[in-house]
Amino acid sequence: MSGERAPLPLPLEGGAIEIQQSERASASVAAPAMRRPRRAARRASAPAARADLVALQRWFQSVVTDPASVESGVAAQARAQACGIADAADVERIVTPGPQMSALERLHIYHHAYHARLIDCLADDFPVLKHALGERAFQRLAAAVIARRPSRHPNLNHYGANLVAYVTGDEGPVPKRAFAADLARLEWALVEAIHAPSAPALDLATLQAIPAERWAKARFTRSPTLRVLGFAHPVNCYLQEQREGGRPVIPRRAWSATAVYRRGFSVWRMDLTRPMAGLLEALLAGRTLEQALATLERTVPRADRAVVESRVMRWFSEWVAGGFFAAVRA
Amino acid sequence: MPSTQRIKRAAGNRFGLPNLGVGVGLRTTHYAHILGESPAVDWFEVISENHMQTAGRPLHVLDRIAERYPVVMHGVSLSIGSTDRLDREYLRELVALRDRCHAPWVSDHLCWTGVAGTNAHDLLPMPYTREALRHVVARVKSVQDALGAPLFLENPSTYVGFAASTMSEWDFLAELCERSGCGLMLDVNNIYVSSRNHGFAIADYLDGVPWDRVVQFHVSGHADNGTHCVDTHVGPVPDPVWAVFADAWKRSGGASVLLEWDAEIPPFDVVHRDALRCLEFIGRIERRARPQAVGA
Repeated sequence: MSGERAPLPLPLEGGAIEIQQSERASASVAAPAMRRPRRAARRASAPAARADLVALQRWFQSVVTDPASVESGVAAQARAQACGIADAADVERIVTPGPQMSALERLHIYHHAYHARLIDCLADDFPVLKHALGERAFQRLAAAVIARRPSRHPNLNHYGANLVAYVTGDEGPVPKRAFAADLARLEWALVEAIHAPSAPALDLATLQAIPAERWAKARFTRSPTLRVLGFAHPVNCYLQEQREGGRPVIPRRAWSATAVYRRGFSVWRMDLTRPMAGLLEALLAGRTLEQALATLERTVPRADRAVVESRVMRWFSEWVAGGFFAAVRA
Repeated sequence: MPSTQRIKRAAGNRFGLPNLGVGVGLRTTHYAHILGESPAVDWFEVISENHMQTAGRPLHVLDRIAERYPVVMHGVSLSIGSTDRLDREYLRELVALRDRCHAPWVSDHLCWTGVAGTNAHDLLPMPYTREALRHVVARVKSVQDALGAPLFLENPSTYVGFAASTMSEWDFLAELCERSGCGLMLDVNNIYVSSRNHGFAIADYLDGVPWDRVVQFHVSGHADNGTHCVDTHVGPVPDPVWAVFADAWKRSGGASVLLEWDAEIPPFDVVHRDALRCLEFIGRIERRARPQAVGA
């Protein structure tokens, strides 16, 4: 059975999907049962390495964020003679052993916590991508993102943008790249919609107050919570089926478009047909209503035009009810 | 739920800040319960960053909760010990959030979270050296200028020590407070965890704390891995941590108490009930301190 699907019947009620914000806290990540790292040779009362605070922090960060391991990070720093140590066995000149742990074992706690926290963050923000790729492939992808794109933002809630940039760019191997890129963009749009600023939505009364002769020149302002995305795969169908407890298979390539928006504090999705997407994108690009409707003439076959035109008012009502627009100028 | 009115009268800090009583860390899983049921909890502490750089639901919920309860802000990204420049944009947002929710104080950690533009999103340990002390004192003063108020720093859980350190954590904190004017948000679980990881005596730590600088306590659970403990904030507060709390409470003259529970989070009432166990341990301390009748 192929994964190809027909577009969802339109307009799709996205179904209330209230997204929980991932928790960010000051707790440390519990280390799993630890693979005991090779102990560095103990040197009795090794003198502390002479390093200023800048050098020490750079050394520590390089070691605990090393993509491979603490040992790899320590060795790389020793090769660079950072912090004045030229031998990985000299690590205890920087980090002291504890009552029951070597310096390397202690560093491992931070190394594990760094990677686990960022992987958890990505898994929170991309649960359906994780399902699609499988646990191990997702972990490998997340590790590649972390190695290539460390966080540069004080707020962990922004880190998921790095996964999207990685899978949509050409930065390294990505399993099922084209599909993964589409799905990641959709899931990230859901997160962005949660955090987007609220704006009063355009209401029907305001629209109805516009004189009929000025409708053609009306221009609409996008709600800051709205995202309209085009895809090469029907990823919203995939996401919906997965959320409903199904076991969707990865679909074949097929054009799709989805509007992601927030009504109140719930995030919704609405699939769009080509004519809907064309009209909506034209409006959001600042075209007048007259100009936007003209896109239908270019994109819809003559035979279908009457049917499409009969639906335009319904689409428009649903977009207004969904809070797609913040304002209108006419 | 037992009343916390009596303990609220005790506040030994020099800043004139109130003892808010017994609070709980605000977590998303409890939003609906808190907004729907308005549970009788004294106050909430929020993770500052969960409500910064967002304009959606997290901020809306914070507004609703701040209308009903005192809210204190606790951050994880100030990176006060980093050798990177202070993030002024972050500070501006922090101040704006403080003003928005009328937080009586703002706290963060004695740590750094990254250098060279990277953020590790972890509370990384400081070497306790004179150089580090000078560095942190200067940065705390800058932050306090931005806040227009004292900053409160939490003693971290740490898993490594540095060979370069020349002073204990408690001496570093005491001198930092003295030279910068900042206060302490004392995490008694972190004292316990670090004592296990470094082998120091808890009494030595408590002897070194400048108690009139302590405005708030954190209590929480941890994972005991045998060779070391990790500050996971999971599970009920274990009795050895409550014992540290009781001793600390007595020495402080009283301060606001906050329970953190950050993973495998149970229903709100379970978390709140565990927080209220502090009353039991405060009671024991007070009974021990009471003069005994002679010849009875």
